[in-house]
Amino acid sequence: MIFTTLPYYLLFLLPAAVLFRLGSPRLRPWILVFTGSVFFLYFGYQLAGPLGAACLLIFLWEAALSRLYRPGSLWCLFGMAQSVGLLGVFKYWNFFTGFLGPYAAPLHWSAAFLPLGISFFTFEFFHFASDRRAGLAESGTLAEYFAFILFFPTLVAGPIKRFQEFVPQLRLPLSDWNFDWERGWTRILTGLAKKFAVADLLTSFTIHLNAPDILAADRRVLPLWLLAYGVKIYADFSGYSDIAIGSSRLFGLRVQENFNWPYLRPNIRLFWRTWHMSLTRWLRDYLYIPLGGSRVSPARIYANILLVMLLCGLWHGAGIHFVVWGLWHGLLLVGHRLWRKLRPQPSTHPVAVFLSWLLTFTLVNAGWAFFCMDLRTATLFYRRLFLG
Amino acid sequence: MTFTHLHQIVTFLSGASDTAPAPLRGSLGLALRGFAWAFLLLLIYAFSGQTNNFIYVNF
Repeated sequence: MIFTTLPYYLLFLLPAAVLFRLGSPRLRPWILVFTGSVFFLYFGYQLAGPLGAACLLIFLWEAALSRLYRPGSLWCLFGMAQSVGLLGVFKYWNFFTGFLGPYAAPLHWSAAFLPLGISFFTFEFFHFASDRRAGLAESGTLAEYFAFILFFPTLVAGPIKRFQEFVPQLRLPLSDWNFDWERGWTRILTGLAKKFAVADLLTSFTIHLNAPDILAADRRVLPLWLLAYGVKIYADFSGYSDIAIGSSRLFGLRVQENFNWPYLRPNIRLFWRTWHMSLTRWLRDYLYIPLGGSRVSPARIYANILLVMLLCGLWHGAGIHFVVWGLWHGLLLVGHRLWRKLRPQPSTHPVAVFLSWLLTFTLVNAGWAFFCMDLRTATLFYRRLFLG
Repeated sequence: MTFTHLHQIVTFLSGASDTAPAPLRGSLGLALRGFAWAFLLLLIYAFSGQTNNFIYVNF
């Protein structure tokens, strides 16, 4: 995790935030471009060697291409297709060609690697191309777009930004430095504490989520391991988001929140409105609504929800178990819609609210089995849990 | 103290909100904020030696 390393703070965050504060408004986007480029080269190289660092060229290409985007333009469609293509090739090539069975061998990419932050930056590329096509985003200057895609606190794992929300802040005079730094560092410390004292600590439980341990364990302990994973994944990713948001604050920049107490929500719909919010928003705007949103027939709505959640699962990782996890949440969302048809007004009785929360929390945590284990191990987990 | 109050205090002390709720204004608030920082730093110091690395999204 980059955010828990000293180089992140000493070599990148502190110098970049100070430079940004001291730089003139005209220079500020270029400061973000420069520091983001060095960050990508440094950590990209660490992650995947020279080829990983060379992927900085993707950003150069995208920034140049973005100058051709106009409302209604075919270049925007090309840009959108290119974003999906980049993600498809780097992340899913071996996964999809693997389905060809014995014919897959010549197509196997043995030196496959993942460019740093590809799942996130391709979604920002797609957003900009799509919004430019629809006339929802101005083009900005080259430096502004470059700064948007190379802003390093959110480059690796989000939150997934919006150009319209990010770039106007670069043009405004910077707000109170002292207040921003106090708030920013507080948020960073909270994120680090969540990561170290909760997420990493729970590894001592979640490390047992593997076939030999599941077979050997007393089955009454299995739900506790899964619960530990549910808490851990929340503490880890919300901690990561805290650090990204706090780091942005040191620059005087605000980025979207990613979590809003999702485990306290009384139904699955509200859970998804408060869990990884920047991804949910992206999926809604660029997948669910273009598919017809809630304006189509009920059957189409349910099919759309299932498809969006299937792709949401696949986005989290190239594996069948991620697809199953996505479908599980799709089914829960469809089930919730059907329930709302039967009971349009949710009960406000405290017992009903508590039971609703308990059910949501249990079902969400039950789904993590398919997220953290491959399909065979997750099936074994449930066979062992229910059948002994 | 209601649940809403508690929520406001936690979100402010964790840096997720900019608006200090009533009990956290003035010198008591400053002391509590200092205590929150010390507590967070202590947690980080105590647990940062672990090697249980973990990431959410396989990017």
